[in-house]
Amino acid sequence: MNDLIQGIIQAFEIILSLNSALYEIIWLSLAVSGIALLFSTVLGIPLGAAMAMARFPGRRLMTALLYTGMGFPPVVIGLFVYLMLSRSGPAGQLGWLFTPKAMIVAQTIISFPLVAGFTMAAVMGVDPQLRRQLMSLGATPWQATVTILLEAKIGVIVAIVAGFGAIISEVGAVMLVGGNIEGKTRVLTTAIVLETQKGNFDLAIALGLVLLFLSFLVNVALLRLQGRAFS
Amino acid sequence: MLKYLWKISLFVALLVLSGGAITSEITHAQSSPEAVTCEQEVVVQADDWLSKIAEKAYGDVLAYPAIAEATNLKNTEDESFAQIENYDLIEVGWKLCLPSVADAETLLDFALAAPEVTPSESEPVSTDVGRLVLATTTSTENSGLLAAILPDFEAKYGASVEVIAVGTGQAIELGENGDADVILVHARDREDAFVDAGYGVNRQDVMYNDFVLIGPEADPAGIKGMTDVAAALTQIAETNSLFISRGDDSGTHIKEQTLWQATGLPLDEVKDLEDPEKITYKPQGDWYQSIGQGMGATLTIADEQQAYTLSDRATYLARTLEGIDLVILVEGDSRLFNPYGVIAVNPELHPTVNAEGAAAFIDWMTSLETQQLISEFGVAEFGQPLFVSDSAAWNAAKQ
Repeated sequence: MNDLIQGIIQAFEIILSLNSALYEIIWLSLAVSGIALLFSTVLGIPLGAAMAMARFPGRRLMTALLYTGMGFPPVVIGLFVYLMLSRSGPAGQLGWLFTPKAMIVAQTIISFPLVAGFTMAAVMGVDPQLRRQLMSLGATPWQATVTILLEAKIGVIVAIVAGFGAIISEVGAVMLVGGNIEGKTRVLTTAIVLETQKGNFDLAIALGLVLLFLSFLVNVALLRLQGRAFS
Repeated sequence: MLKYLWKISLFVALLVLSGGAITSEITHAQSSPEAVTCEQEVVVQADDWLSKIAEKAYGDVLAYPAIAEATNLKNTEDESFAQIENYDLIEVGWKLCLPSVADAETLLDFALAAPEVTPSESEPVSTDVGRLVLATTTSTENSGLLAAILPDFEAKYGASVEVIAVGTGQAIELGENGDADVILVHARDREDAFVDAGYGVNRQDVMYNDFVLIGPEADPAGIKGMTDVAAALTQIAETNSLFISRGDDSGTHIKEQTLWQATGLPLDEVKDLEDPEKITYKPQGDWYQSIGQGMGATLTIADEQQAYTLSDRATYLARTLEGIDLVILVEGDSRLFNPYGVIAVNPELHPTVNAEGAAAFIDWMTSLETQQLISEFGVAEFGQPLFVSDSAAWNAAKQ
């Protein structure tokens, strides 16, 4: 209990101390997860929308695969990326292992099924008559798709929020492929594991609170976007 | 119908009762062998101990109670045989009775299965000690030592040991918080501080192993075969060769920092955010990477990057079996020495800890039999022991 209270006090002290190592860690966490989220959004939203609207053979199987991907253990994805990028793996020549690039690859694979899956669910919730109406009014298929996505905006933003939540808080995969190298691949979650292992429980809790606070800020920003969808 | 049921249950009850009577009779018959025949008589030589003799005669170190009991039984009819009160203590010139294998098995069954019947004659065990939480360094777990020796403790003391393998820093913190019952770590200064602050009691030396400086076969820094570890580290720094540091405040990381300090190179001093008194030393430059992970992960990363690193010999040797390419480049410097100590968490500070279990564990860990197990661990697999036994009892017996 003492550790917890001390940790909370220390969290504020540390955030206010403007410690450069800490801001490096925060910055890297946001950068890695932000870029990964950008990739998974760019890939996931079109795929989710296509799977909701198009009819093609194997759609059922693809849906099942996507839902499985949503629940896939991140550490297993980390292991897969590790084996691919390892010196003895097929993509070993890239030299990406233990760099932020490897972490972005892993986090993209983790968040992509979440973004695609939730987008699919949101688009399926839009009245199917809308597409026919739009087409009859002379919209191209592309224009119709964009309009439907805008209609499903709330759900699509939830998809992005879910993707972000999954990777900013993820530790197993980034530890494995990033290596937790100080000043290079150390992010908030791996720093928390490290401080816990060192017995610095106060500092670990302080870092946890920083992570929570960051997550809160990002979600508030995204919810403001969603709020505008109501007006 | 009811009457019928009642009859059946009476019958069953009778069966159970009579069965119990028969079983207890058998146990009784087994537990008091009338006489024992010595297949072999052995006179204790210098440097002998019971488990060593047991291993020679039966191929099993754990057969030693059979020898002691057979000898004690013989002693009642023939005084020339020794009377062994403490199984850990035999003296040169004593005459021992080695029973036949069948007799030994009978004796062992009785000695191991029902120690409470004859506590004075069997193991120094009183009751089951139950669940014991052991906080230890990753090296004892990763090397496979604990998996090899703990079953013996669990069987002898009716214990179930939960091993929490973490860095020395966290192991000590777990002890300070009373989340562990006993700790087994290697950072002498911290251990002494832990005991001095009243967190721990009954610190005992257990064993030691050593650190080795390992790196890629190509050896870009050209340190292979050097005997001065500080000079080798200086050369790594001067050639800007990649070096992976545990950076996790573990015993190995602490050792690594003292070695860097010995080089006389300019070091960065990083103040701990939590405890400004605590300073981490690290050399300057991008070639030095601190990863804040355990020994296993450090070896994996060093192997991937073909970098240098400092490892304990046990974990390194265990990992060579799984195909890492790094080789030992520098070893044998006395500064690479790594002693392990076992400490019970102070029950006065944390009344909930399993003090009895911790005491039993420390007794067992430092006993001659366990020390023998430790000194043999790894020989079959690696051709060399991973740890060198170092308890007071062991060193006394060796002299």
